[in-house]
Amino acid sequence: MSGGDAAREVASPASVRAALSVRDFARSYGETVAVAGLSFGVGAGEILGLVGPNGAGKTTTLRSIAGVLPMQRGTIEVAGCDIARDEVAAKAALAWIPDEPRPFEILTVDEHLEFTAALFGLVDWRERAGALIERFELTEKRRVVGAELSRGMRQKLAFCCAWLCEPRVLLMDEPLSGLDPRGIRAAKRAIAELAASGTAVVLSSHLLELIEELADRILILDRGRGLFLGSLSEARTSLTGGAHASLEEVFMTITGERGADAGVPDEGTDGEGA
Amino acid sequence: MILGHRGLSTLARLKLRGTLRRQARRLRTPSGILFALLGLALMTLWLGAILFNRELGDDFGPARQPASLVMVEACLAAFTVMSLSGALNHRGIFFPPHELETLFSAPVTRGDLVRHRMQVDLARSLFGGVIFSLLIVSRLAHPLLGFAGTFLSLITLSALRQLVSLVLCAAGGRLSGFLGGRLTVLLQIGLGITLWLGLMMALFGDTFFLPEQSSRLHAGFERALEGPFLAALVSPWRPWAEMMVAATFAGFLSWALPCALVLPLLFEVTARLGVDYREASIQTAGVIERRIKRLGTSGPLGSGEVTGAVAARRNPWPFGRGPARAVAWIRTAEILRRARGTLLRSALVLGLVTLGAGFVVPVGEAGALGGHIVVAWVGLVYLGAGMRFDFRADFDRLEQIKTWPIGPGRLFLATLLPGALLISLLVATAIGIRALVLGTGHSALALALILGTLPICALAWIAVDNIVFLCAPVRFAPGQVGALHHAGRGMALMFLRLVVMLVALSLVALAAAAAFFAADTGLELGGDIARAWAIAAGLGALLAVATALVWIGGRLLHRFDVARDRP
Repeated sequence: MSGGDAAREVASPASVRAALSVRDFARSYGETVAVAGLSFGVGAGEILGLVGPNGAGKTTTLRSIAGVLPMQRGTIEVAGCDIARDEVAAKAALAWIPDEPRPFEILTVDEHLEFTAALFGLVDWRERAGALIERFELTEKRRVVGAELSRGMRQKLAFCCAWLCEPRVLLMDEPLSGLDPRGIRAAKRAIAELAASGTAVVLSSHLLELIEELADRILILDRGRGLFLGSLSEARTSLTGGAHASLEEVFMTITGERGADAGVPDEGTDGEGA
Repeated sequence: MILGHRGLSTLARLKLRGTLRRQARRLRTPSGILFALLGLALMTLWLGAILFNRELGDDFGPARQPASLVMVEACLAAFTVMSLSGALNHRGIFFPPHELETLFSAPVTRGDLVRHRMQVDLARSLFGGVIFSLLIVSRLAHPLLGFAGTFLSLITLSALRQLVSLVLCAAGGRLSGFLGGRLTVLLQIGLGITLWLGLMMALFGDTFFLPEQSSRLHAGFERALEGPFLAALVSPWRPWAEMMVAATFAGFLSWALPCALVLPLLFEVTARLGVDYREASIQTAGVIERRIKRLGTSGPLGSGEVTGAVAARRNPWPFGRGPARAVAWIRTAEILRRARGTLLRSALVLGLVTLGAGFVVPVGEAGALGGHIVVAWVGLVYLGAGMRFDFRADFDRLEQIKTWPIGPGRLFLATLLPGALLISLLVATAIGIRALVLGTGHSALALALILGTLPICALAWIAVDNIVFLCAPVRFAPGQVGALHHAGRGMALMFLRLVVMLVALSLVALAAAAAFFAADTGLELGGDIARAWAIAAGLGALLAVATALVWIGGRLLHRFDVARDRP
């Protein structure tokens, strides 16, 4: 198992019904195929690292799971709810942090949390919101409006909003960009702890060290196709032949063999592979 | 039902509070208070003019005929055509791009999102609706009932527009592609504008025409509209028109009640359509965001989208090669790549100004020259503000621009020159056409002088604009918060620019007059030579002023702190 396991105990994937299940998901923009027949699952408490070169389909996949983009083909279930048929229930169980969070320009940090609480129908949220604001070092910015927040602060605010609604599934696209070293450290710890509390996390990043440190399993995408899904140790053994190869070496080996579908298991409908 | 999701109501409430807070924050500085007061004064004057026009019209002006039912029906029909033409281009439902990711991934139904958007639109259209209602009410039988009827009609139309754009979204790309084709949309907009202008002329014609001309125009329109085909065409708007022209409260109520019921019905039907508008909305949000950004940077006349085919064309190097020339080349490329739409719009505006100047200034030698000067002046001010191919457009890149290995003065000149030349060319074309059409025997020398000094004047005017921008870098795009402050600031900046230009022109006039008197009275060289001296001195002074402005601009650019103010 990869790093981050000291902080939490990951439930055995096979024993837990997948919190997130993606089956035969495909998506295109006009003639361009962004994602072609992708299947994977993420169990409760598990962190899945999503890696791939630019244009691989990572963000499209995450935005579709989040319900930002409509489904074209396949099935996505969040906490057992189909995102196409039971959209509101599915969305109530997930939180989405895009690569460039854009807060409401005229709302303060506090008001963003107030809105999030109302949106997710939370009660007794204020104390927890205060703790989150403190945790993500936004105490001095509570009354600052979105337009005046720096990139890192916007990221931290997005974290606060996502954490506040205690999601069953958390989707993050490049979550550490814009954060300072302290922020990065706090964010990594927070992600690990959230997963330990039972949230399924999908983490997309080009920072392979981050994935290596936090993810239990990795999904490598290229040109909309899944090239590998499994743990890093499995990847090391099956793809590079070396037990100590880094994720970067694994990534380069796999994406160097463009078009090869090796290593992608055909997952069961309930995400047993997770 | 109509209120929608609690979270979205909270959002609307918080956004209203945020808007008020932002307005209050603007009032914390002396300049903020000053601009707000100026903006308020402008608005008060405008609204006052509208209201007094209504109240005093009967006492101080000619008696106005109330608009007939068929005329109001036709007005509503024209307004609907124009409004729905916009829906063809913007399918789905519009959300600001920064709200899309949050709202589309939120646990609320799409219907709730539609309700929320329609409520926000309704709130935002209150101000515009009130102004428009006040404008039109002078033509309606009863001011209060007319106002209420107009307002209700307008907000119903806004809801209808949303319904149509969602239906088009549901119908898919093919139908909207057919209906929204560039030619069809142009035709629809053209038809709508023609109808609208015609009816406005008929309704408010007496402001521009003599009473008998106005009455003839009015009667002619009514006759045309009473024909069976046109009457049938505009009849669907009958209930709303009846409500607007009602003279008694009972009459108003009998039409207003069904009309008022239609509004919530439209609301709910739109919200319950069940259309998956996400894809279209993301596309629409992107298009609108890019357009607003271009409006805020390159100005309303320079906001054309650069298509792939246009971008594939190679751009010429009209100023030659070299560092400063490379800067001028970039500007030229920008102008050429956005030129088609810009030139078309500019030609249209200049044509109208040229035509107007022909009416305003009586023809004759002095009149023709006066008209040319009006065209030149309005052209410079309008195009200078509308086409911003300079630092006002490139502010976001200023950090990078400041690292370029070019002196600030040359950089300033190279940035401004292509735009100044384009504006001069457009204005010169308008003046040339006007001179040819009028064909009066004015002095060729005077015309040559006007045309010859245009590039220098354009450069000086744009330089003043850029100097002011570098001193107070403020951008404003439609839809942004702070319109009142912006109106006040715009007024103050326009005043400042006019003062600078007047000082510059006074210097030019002073130099020309001094040269004339020195040659004519001091050296006794004779009238013609003295005039030549005056022209040469005036041109020299104009060049000196332009050079000084470029130098000042360069210094300001050099001293500009990119970390200080962001527009």
